[in-house]
Amino acid sequence: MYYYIYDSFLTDKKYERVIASVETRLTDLGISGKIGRLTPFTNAKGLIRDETRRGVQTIVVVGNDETIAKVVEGIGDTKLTLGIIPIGTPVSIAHSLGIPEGAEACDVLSKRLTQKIDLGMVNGRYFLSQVCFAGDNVSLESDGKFRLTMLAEECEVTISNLRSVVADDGAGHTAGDPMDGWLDALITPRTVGLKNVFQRRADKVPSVIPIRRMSVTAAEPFAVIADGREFMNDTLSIEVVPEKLKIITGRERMFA
Amino acid sequence: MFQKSTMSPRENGNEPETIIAPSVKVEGDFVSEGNVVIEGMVEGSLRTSRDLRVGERARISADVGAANAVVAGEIRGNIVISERLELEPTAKIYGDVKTKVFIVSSGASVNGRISMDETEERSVKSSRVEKGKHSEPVLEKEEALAHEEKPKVINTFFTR
Repeated sequence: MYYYIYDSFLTDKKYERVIASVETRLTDLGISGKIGRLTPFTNAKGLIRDETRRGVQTIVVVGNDETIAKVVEGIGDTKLTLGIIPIGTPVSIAHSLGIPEGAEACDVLSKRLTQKIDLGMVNGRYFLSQVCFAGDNVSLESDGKFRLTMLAEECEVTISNLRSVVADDGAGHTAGDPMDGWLDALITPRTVGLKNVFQRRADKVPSVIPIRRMSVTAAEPFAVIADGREFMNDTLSIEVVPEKLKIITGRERMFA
Repeated sequence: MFQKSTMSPRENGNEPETIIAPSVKVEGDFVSEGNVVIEGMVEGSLRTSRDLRVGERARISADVGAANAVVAGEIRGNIVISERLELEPTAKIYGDVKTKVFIVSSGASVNGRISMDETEERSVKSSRVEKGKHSEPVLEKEEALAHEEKPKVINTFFTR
């Protein structure tokens, strides 16, 4: 039994055609189901809780990365399976999971290749893809074992769970395997203007450090983006929750 | 059925799992289960059960342990490598070295004691391997005599 959660932006006229084709394809494949819509007055957690009581076993997110973030936060502590139909932008999470956009995603959904993947947790909230923040004036400590100090004036820190390409150094370095029980901390020096032109290529290569738990502290609150959702805090407690989410993936996924 | 048959370079062990770039300094006990590339600074201790590469600009003030290692930078601390240690021409080691196979390029320098046997402690005193010269390890005289009953070929290679 499938339950589809549509994001509020899908009411826009420009998505009418793609929604219609998705719904037709779902009916053809015999996997159509009840539809719930996110609005400013309904959250994903509430919708999921109500439908779980009615026996729903698969929740399908229809929307972009931010929609997935909202649903993952609500689905984290249940044993439900998550499916995705990517529509809108950005859809990088679906891309990492090997799920094509629009109606083609329905075929991936019907094949139902499921995998148990890790989730990340930042300050008690689940995230699927990554957490980003500026690395200036913050202190990073991993599991109380080692401390990371940034020598570059400005840098960006990304704690990644899903695989993504991290360096344009030609070597095609990737980071973030959601099935290895680790998160990857990527520290990328950020340079602008002339400094960027004259900086050596080696200096632009990001550090990639596998972590299980990390604490981030700063003297003042700083901006954090978790799966596309922004919040402010002066302390972050980040950890991996292994094999937490059962998810439907495509064959073109960026991990095993 | 659901698993991909081909493994990614990272899973094959061909791709480093940890990269400490020049813009980062690590302080404390750094323990890894995968391949490690160090281009930045490390202070404390550094251990991996797999391969280690220390880049030319890397500065390590730590005891180091790995299965295999290629060193082009500077290490101040003791090094224990369970298989093969290779020093590139720019490598500078200030500390004791313990390994099975030791390859030193001309220009590399080792300031410390070198041990290359797990059971019998056999040490080679090496100060500086001069640039352009083909050097050979010199056994300490007393220790060489003590082990004379069973002469053994030391598994060491020097390359230009």
